[in-house]
Amino acid sequence: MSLLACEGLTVEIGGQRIAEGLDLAVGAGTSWAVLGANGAGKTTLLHTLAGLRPPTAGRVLLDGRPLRGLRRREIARRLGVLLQDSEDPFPATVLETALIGRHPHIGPWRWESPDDHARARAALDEVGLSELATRAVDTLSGGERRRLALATLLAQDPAVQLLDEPSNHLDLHHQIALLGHLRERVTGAGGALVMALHDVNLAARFCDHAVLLFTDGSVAHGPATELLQPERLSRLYHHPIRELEADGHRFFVPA
Amino acid sequence: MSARTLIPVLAAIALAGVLLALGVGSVPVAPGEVWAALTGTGEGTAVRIVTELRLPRTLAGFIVGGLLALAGALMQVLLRNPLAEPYVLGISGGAAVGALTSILFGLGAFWMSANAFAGALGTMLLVFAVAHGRGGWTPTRLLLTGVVIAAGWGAVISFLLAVSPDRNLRGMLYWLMGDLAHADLPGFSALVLGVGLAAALAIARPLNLLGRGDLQARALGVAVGPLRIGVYVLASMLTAAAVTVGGSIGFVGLIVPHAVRLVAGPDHRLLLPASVLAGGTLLVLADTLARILIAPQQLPVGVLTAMIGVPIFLVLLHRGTRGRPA
Repeated sequence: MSLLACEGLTVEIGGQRIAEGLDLAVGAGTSWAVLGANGAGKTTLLHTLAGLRPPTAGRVLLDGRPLRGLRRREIARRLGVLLQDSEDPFPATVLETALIGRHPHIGPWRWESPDDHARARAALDEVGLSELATRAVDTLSGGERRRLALATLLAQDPAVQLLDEPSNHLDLHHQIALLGHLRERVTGAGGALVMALHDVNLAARFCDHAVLLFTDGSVAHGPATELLQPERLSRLYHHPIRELEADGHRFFVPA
Repeated sequence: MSARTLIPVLAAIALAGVLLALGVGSVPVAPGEVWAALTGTGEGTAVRIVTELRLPRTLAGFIVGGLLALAGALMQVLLRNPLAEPYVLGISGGAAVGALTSILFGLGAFWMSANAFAGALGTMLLVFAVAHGRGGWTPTRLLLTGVVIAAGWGAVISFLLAVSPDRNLRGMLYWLMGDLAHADLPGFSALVLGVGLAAALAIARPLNLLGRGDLQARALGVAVGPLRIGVYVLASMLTAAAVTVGGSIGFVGLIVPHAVRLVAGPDHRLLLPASVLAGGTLLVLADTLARILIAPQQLPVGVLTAMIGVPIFLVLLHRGTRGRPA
């Protein structure tokens, strides 16, 4: 049984059709890239898969159970989302922010246990923010805030992780190190990753499956090695793209 | 400051404030006599002044202050706007129209309270119904609806002031500024505060997430829709109960939650009870000053809340507590 699946999924936003009758099965230990041009609907598809917006038709299954029948709390114990943006209108520290990831695991009227604190600190350590635990969030840089959002997701520790542009604001080192760490951590534990990416080379490097969202509303999905081909990517991004090879990696560059 | 120290400290300050309010006034009563009066062992005029005059008014002040501070903290997280306060959605405006109409027609104190409460609840339902229409229920839409309806009530209030005979104007202005002079021992609002605080504490941790945006809260397991409706109804009821007793006392609901946040941090499990204690204490102290400042005449307490609160808040802001620049 796949961890996350959708059946006959039709997704629309603002009158634009993003996918029609889409069937996906995200199995344990797999890592998926969602690729497409600006406005192709990457975020909308991720939000639909996370149950944050209803599909026009079809259904999403988490552990084989329809998402619609589950309580948000049950969903959050198994499925987590890294949103494209985070907002913090009221002041909070880095550690307090990472701790909110533990929310779905703590019963009502209960406070965070020492174990919850340990997990939040470990998550901060994984993204290299443990030195900044007591800092106010509004003093962090854009990249540090992105890593903090990632740490919150790691503290939540769900089996299925949906990431919306995880590499946003991250420098080159953190892009490679964190995505590599994330893939190892999640797929190694029998979980699954689905990430919307704007950098096709990160997709080629870290994902074994891909979903391509074309602006005409058609969708292609399958193993990344088959799907990521220069002709198809040229059509996806409306720009000619060439493939290069170096050090055993495939690279796609605009012609 | 942590939960273990902050709440007891605030409770002790609140108790000291209440004892001070009971002793101070045109007839000073010594602390020993206040204690004797409260424990029922004293006798004489001092006892009657404390138990029959000052105690009901002081308790009413504490409860109204607690209601407003709690409602303000809830409104700020509901609307995700630091400038939100209990009156921003027009609830006090609706209550004012009810109260001022009652004064205009010479109705008694009971009808004034009843109409104020009805005006507040009517506004709550009206704002909810209009904001809930097509296009969902976003904080911005709720805020805009409430602000527009509040502006509408403002016009009605100006109209009522313009057509009222001079002899009614003083009572109306005192109501609008907030005044505890006619407050009785507030059984009903005490009940609202108790039940409201318990309900607010039950949803305190989800509220922490709501402050970070609807999507993030839902992604972390919060049923945002029902929670927001619950917070809206709760904050509105708290505000309605407060304005029914004390008129539209300003400032407490806006500034107390911010001041508490500067000391206690953003966690609502600590922020909400601490706001109740701080708001209650502030209003008790303000009302004490209102009674004695130009005695034998009394000021409306609303004048004093800002006069005391502004310097306290500026000092807290300037100190930039919890290691962050403010």
